[in-house]
Amino acid sequence: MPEQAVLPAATQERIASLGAVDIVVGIPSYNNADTIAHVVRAAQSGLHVHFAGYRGLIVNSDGGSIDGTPEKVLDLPGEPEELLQLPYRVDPVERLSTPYHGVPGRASAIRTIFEIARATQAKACVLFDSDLQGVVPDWVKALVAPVIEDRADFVAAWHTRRKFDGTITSGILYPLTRALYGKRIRQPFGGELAVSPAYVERALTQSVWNSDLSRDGFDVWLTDFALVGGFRLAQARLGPREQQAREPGSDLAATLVQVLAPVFLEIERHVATWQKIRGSEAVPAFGSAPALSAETAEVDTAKMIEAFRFGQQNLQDVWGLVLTPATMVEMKKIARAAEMRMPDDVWARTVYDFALGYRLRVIARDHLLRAMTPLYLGWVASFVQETRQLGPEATEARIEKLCLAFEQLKPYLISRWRWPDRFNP
Amino acid sequence: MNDPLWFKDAIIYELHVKAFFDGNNDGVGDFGGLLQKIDYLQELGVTCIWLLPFFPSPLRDDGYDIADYTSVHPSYGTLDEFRSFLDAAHERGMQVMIELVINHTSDQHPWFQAARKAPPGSPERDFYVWSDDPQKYKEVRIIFTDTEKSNWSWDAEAKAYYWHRFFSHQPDLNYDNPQVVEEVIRIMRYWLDMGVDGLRLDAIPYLVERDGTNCENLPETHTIIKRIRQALDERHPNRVILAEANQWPTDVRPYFGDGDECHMAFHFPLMPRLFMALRLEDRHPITEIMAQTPEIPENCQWGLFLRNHDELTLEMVSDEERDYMYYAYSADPRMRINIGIRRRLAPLMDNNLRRVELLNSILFSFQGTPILYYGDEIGMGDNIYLGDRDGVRTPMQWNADRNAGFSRATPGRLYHPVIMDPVYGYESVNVEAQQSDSSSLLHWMRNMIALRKLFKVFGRGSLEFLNPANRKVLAYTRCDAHEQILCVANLSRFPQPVELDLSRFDGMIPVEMIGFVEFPEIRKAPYPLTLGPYGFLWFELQPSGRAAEVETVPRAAEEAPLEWLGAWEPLLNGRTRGFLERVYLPPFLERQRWFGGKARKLERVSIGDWAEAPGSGAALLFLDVEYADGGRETYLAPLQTATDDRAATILEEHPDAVVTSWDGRVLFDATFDPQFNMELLDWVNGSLHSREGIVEGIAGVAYPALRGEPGEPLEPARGGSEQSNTSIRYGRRMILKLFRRVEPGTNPDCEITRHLSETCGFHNVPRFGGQIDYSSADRGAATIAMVSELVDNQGDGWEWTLEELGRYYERCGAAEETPELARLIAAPLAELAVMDLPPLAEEMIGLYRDATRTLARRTAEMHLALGKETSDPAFRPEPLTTADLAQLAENLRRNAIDAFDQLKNNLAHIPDDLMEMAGLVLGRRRILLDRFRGLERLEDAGLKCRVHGDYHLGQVLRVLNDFVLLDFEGEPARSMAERRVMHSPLKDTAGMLRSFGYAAQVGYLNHSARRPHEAEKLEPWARLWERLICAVFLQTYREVVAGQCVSADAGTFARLLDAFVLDKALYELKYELNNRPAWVRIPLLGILALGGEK
Repeated sequence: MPEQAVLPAATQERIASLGAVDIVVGIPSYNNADTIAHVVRAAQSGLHVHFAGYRGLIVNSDGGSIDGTPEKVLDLPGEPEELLQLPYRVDPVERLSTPYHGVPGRASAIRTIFEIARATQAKACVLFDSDLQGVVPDWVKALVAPVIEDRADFVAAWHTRRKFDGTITSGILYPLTRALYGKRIRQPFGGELAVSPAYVERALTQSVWNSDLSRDGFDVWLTDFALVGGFRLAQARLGPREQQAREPGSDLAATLVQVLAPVFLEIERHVATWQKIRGSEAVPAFGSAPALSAETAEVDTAKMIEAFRFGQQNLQDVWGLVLTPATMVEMKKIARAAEMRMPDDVWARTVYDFALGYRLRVIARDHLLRAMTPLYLGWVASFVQETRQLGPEATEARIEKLCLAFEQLKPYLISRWRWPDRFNP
Repeated sequence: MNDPLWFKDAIIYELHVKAFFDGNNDGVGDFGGLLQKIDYLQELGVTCIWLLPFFPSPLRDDGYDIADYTSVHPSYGTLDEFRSFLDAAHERGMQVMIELVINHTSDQHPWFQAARKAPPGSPERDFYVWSDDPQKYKEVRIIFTDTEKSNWSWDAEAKAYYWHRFFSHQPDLNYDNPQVVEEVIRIMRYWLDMGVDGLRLDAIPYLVERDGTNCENLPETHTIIKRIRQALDERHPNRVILAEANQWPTDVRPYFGDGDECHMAFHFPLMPRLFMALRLEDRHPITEIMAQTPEIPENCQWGLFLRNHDELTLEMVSDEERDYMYYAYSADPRMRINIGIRRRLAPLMDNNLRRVELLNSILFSFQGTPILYYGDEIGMGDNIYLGDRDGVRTPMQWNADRNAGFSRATPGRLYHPVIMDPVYGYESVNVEAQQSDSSSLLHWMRNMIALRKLFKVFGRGSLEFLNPANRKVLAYTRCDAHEQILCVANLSRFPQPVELDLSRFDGMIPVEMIGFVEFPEIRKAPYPLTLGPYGFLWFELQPSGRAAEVETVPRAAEEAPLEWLGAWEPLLNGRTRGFLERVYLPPFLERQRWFGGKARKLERVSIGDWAEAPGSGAALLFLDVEYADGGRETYLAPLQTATDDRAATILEEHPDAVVTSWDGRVLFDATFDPQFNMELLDWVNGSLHSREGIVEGIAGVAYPALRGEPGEPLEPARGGSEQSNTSIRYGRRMILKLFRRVEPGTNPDCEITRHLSETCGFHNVPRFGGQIDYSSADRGAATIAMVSELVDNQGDGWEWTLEELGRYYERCGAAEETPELARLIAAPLAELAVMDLPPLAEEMIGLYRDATRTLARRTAEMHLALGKETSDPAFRPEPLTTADLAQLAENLRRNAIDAFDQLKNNLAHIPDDLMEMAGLVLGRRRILLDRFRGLERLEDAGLKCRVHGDYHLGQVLRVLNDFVLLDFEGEPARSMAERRVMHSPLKDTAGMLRSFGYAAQVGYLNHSARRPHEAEKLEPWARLWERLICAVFLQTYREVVAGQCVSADAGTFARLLDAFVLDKALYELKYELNNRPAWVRIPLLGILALGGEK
C-alpha cells in the first residue's frame, strides 16, 4: 500500500512558498557537528559553480542530534531560501546503534528528502552522507549531471579506493549484485547517490518505509529498487571518499551481518527477477577518477589466515550446514596449503551457499553470517597475496575475473535455490 | 491486493477449520488453532486459504447445511477469532476464501422455520420452493442417489412438498423471490466488508427451477449470478467468486459469462481423467477433455484440483469409464459413495511417491489455478470405515505425538479419529517428520510451489498440446509474452522415449527448470527425450546463446537499449530501429492471433511505413514480413506507449499485447488504448499522412446516423476474441473491423456490405458505416478498416443452433421410438422438405425448421441482390460458361486430390476410432473424384456473381425472428484477388448445408459426451435433424431464387451443389487434420454421406 506523505503542514507551507526548484541536495545527519558544515558548504559550492542556472535547495534532515549539528548548519553563510532544515523521527531503539552506512533512521530522513524533492518538482535529487570529510563541490556535478543531462534515474557513486580497501564490496557485494541483477555497478551500495523524479515518485509509493529494511540496510534497498525497477542506471566516478573514523567497537563479524543481511533479504524478495537474468551489462560511468588509487592499505594477512584456519577447524558443524561436501573438502585443502589461495569458483559457491543458508534459516541468521567471517578473511588473504604485486588496473582486472566466476556459477545458485536439497555433490 | 487477476497466480489450499488444529483442546479444530498453524501454510507457499463452511449448522452435511450465515459455529471459535485469522493471513500476503452456500439452507435456518409456518403465497413462505405435487420437475436427476429417493420432501407443518437438490434437510432457496437475492447479497457484503477476499459459490447450477427442463444451468440462474457479481463489483473490487458447477466444460463456460459472472470455476471433468490417464498410461483422456474445454474470458480462470473434501466424482465420465475407475481405484466397495470414490490422493496412488509427484506436476503446470486439499501435501491417508465422506476429513497429522499433534484432548473426544494404520498413520506420515526430511513429499511440494510461483506463465499463459506418437507421454507448452515453457510427463510405470515436434522453437535452448540444466539446442528435426518411470520435465525455452552469455561483451551500437525521447521518430527511425525489428517485433507478431504466418518460418520483419496518430500519440506501423519460403506479407500494427500504472495494467492484463518494456515504459498494441480507438474512428471522416503514403477514410451513407451527434461519447470496447481481424465496438452503435493483413485491393467485406446495404437496399446486412484505406506509390491501395452498424442480436447462428440442438437431443433422449419417427428418418430428402411432421417431431424440431426457412429466404434474397444486373463491373453477373465449369471442375478435383493425400499422410495422427472411417473415405477416392467429372457439360448452370465466399452459421446473427448476414470477407487464407472472383451462388449454399451438418454432429458429440449411454440411440436423430434441416433450407431457397441466379433445372442444380458440398467437406477435412484431429470425424461423415452412391 502506498503510504501517506510524511511532511508536516508547516513544512508543506514552507515548500509551497519556495515554489519549484531544480536540484535538491539531501543531507541526513545525526550528531555530525564536526563534519556537517563541510558537507553543506561543498554542496552549496557545487550548486553555485556547476549549476548556476538552476535553482538548488539543500535539505538537512536531522534525527535529533545533541551535539549541535543543526546549529552548525544554521550558522553557515548563504541565502536562507537555499537551505531547509527539518527534523525527522528516529526510533529510540535505532539511536542505540549506528548502522554500517550513515545515520540512524536514515530511511526516514531520505523519505523526508524525497517528499521535498517531489513537492518542489526537482529535476534531480542527490544524497550526501554528513560524516564525509573529503566531499568536494565537483561531486554535485558528477552525480547530478547524469540525471539532468543524460536522463539517468539512479546514479551510484564510484569512489576511488586504495587497494585492499572496501574488500566486502570487491569480494562479495559487487560480484554478487552484478551476477544476480545483471548490471555492473562497481560500488552498488554507497552513501552518495542521485535519483530522478521518476525514481522518487515510484520509491515513495513503495511499502518499504516502515519495514525492517528501512532500519537496516536501506542503502541496499535504494540500489536494488533501481536494479529491479527497470530504471536507467549510471555511475559517477567521484575520487576518494574520506569518512570520519568509525566507532572502535564495530567488529568485522558485526559489519558482515549488517551488510549482508539486507543484501540476502533482498535476494529473497527479488527471486522472480534475478533468476531470469543472464549475464551482465555495463552501466555507463561518468567522470574519470580511477577505481583504485596507487596507494595500498596496510593489511596483515597472517592474522586473516590464522582466523580462516581456526574457523576451518572449529566451525565445521556450522559450515557443513551450508556448504556442500565438495566445498568443505576444498576449504580443508586451502587451510592446509602452504600458500593461501582461494579459487574464484570456490569463493563464489561459498557466497551463494551462504545466501541460500540465510534463506533457509538453517541456523539463526546472525550466527550464520558471523560464521562466514573466517571464510571471508580467507578470501581477503588470498586476494591480497595474489594481487600484492599488481598495479591498480591489474587488480581491477582480477576483480573482473572473480565477477565472471560468479556469473558462470549463477546456475549453481539457481538450481540450489529451486531445489534446496541437502544431498548435494 | 491491487492486482484484480491475483487469483490466476494463486496457490489455493482447501481446509476445514475443524480438521486443521485444535487450539483449545476440545477435540475439534478451531480458528485459534488455525492461527497457530498459519505460518506453516505460508512456508508451504500457499497464497489463498479456502475455508470450508464454518457457520452455525446442525452439521448434518459437514456444515453445508447452514443455520446462520453471519456467525461462526461455536465449536470453531468466535467472529473475533475469525477476524484475527483474517488479519494474520493478510499480514502474510495470503488471501482468504470462504463458502457462500446459496442454493439451500439447513432446515433449521430461521427462514425455513418461518416459511413452513407461514401461509402459502406469503413472503416468508416464498423463501423456498414448494409444491403440492411431488411429480413436478420429475425429469430432474437426484444427486445424492445413495440417500435420497426424490427431490421433494413432505413438510407436515406446511402441508406441502419442498424442493431440495441435495439432502432432504437442505431445502432449496427460491430465487424467483427477489427478496432471497437481496438477502444473499447482504450476506455476501457482510463478509466482504470484513475483508474476505473470495467466495466459493456452492452448487450454483441449481439455483432456479423451471418446468420441462432438468433445472440445471438455466438462463435465469445466470441472471442471478450476474446480479451477485454486479453487487460484488460495486463495492468490493479485486474480490473473487469461484463457481462450483460439477458440469461439462461447455456447460460450465456460461458461468464465466462475458467475464461478468464468476471469476473462476472448477474444472471437474479433468480431475478423474488425470487419474484415468495415469492408470491407462495413455494421455488421451486428458487431451480429449481439454479439447472439449472452451476458451474462457481473459479475466477468468479454471480452478484445478486432484482431490477435495468430496468424493472423486465420476459424474462427468461415460459408463464404461466409470466402471474402469471403480475397478482401478476402488477395489473395496466401501471406497465408493454416490457416483464417485471417497479416497485421498496418496491411497489412490498406492502410496507411490512418484505417481503423487507426477500428478501434482501436471496440476501445477496446467492452465488454471491449482487447489490443494489439506493433508495431501504430506500424503495423508483416509479411513473408509467412517461414514459419508468423513474418511477424507480426518484430523491433520502434525507430528507423532498423541492425536497426531492435532489436539491434546482425550482421543475419544476428537471429532473423528486420526488415521492410525501402519502405512498412512500419523506416526509415519506427519508434518514434523517431513519437515526434517529434505526428501519428503512436503519438501517436494514446497519446492514445486515456489518454482511455479516464479513463472507467471503457469497461471496466465496459453496451453498447447504437442502430439508425439508415444501416447504414454503427455507434452505441452505454456507460453505468454515473456516466457515459453515446455512440460513433458511420462504417464507410464516404465521409461519411455519420445520425439517432440518443437520445430517452431527452432534455435532455442531448453533449460530444465529444477536443476537449471541446459539441454541440447532445438532444431527443426524431432527433439528426442527419454523419461524415467512417471518422470516429468519442465523446460524454460531460452533464446539460443542467451543462457551461455556471461562474457562482458559491450553492446553493438545498434543493439543499444530502446529509449523513448517523447516521439516516435527516434525510436522507429533511429539507431534502435534495427533492434526493434530484429529482436522485439518478430516474437510480438508470432504471439498475435491475427498473425497468419505462424506456421511459416519468419525470416525478417521490417517497418515498411509508419504514421504518427496525432490525436492519441500512437503510431500506425506497416510491418513487412518475409518468410523463409520466400513469401512476403504486410501487417498493420498500431503501437502505443505507456508508463506507470497504465504500463503495469497492460503488462498484467494483456501481456501478449506488449512488444517490449524498458525503463518502466511499455510498447504495446494500440488497440488496447481507448484513445487510439476513438481516433481510429475519426479517420473514417479524415486522413493522415504516413512516411510513404496516406491513410484516408470513406464515410458510408449511414455513417452520420450511426455516429450520432458529433461529440456524443462513444465508449470504445475492444473485442476479446479475434481471428484475422481485431474488432472494436463503439457503444452500442458501431463496430470497426481492423484488417491486420494489409493486402492491395478493396476488401470484399467492405465492398459487398456497402453494395448490399447502399446499392441493393438489402436490409438483412448491417448498415455500412465507412472504411479506412491506406495507399502508397509502392504498395497500391488497401483497405485497413471497415465500420458498420452494431446489430443487437441473440448470438450468432452457430451458437444459437447449438443451443437449439442441445434441447433437441435432450428431448430425443427422452422420446420413445415410434414407427412414425423411424419412417421419418428413412424418408427421402424431397419428401422431408414438404411433409407435415408428426406431433412429436414437430415439437422437437418445429421451431428450428421455421427459422431455417427464414434463413434460406434471406440467403436467396442475398444471392438475388448480388446476381442483379448492374453497371458496376465489380458486381456485374455473368452466365456460367462451359469454360468456367471446366475450370471449376479442375480446381475442385485438384483440391480433392490434395485433401486425400493429406488424409493418407496423416493417418498416424488421427484418433484410433476414426481409422476405419478414414480408410473408407480413401477407399472411395475414385468414386468421389468422379463427382467432379463432367461438370463442364452442364447446361444453364446459372450465373456467376459475387458471393459471400465463406458462408456458414457463424456468419449470420439471430436477430429477433430473423437473421442478419455479415462477414463478407471470404476465406482469409485466400488472396484478395481470389476472394473477389465470381462464383455460382451455390458455393454459399453448400457452405451453409455443411454448417448444418457440423452443427448436428457437434451437438451430438457434446450430448453424447455427457450422456454416453444415449449415443447410440441419438445417432439416427442426428442424421434426421441434418437431413430435415438441409431439405427445408434447399426447398425454401429454391422457391425464392426461382431459377433467377441458379439453375432452374433440378438435376443441374443438384449436380453443381453436390460438387460444392463435397469440395467444402474436403476443405474441412484438411482443416481438421491440421488443427483438430479429434474433429476429423465430422467431415469424414459428411464425405461418406456424399460418396456412398453416385
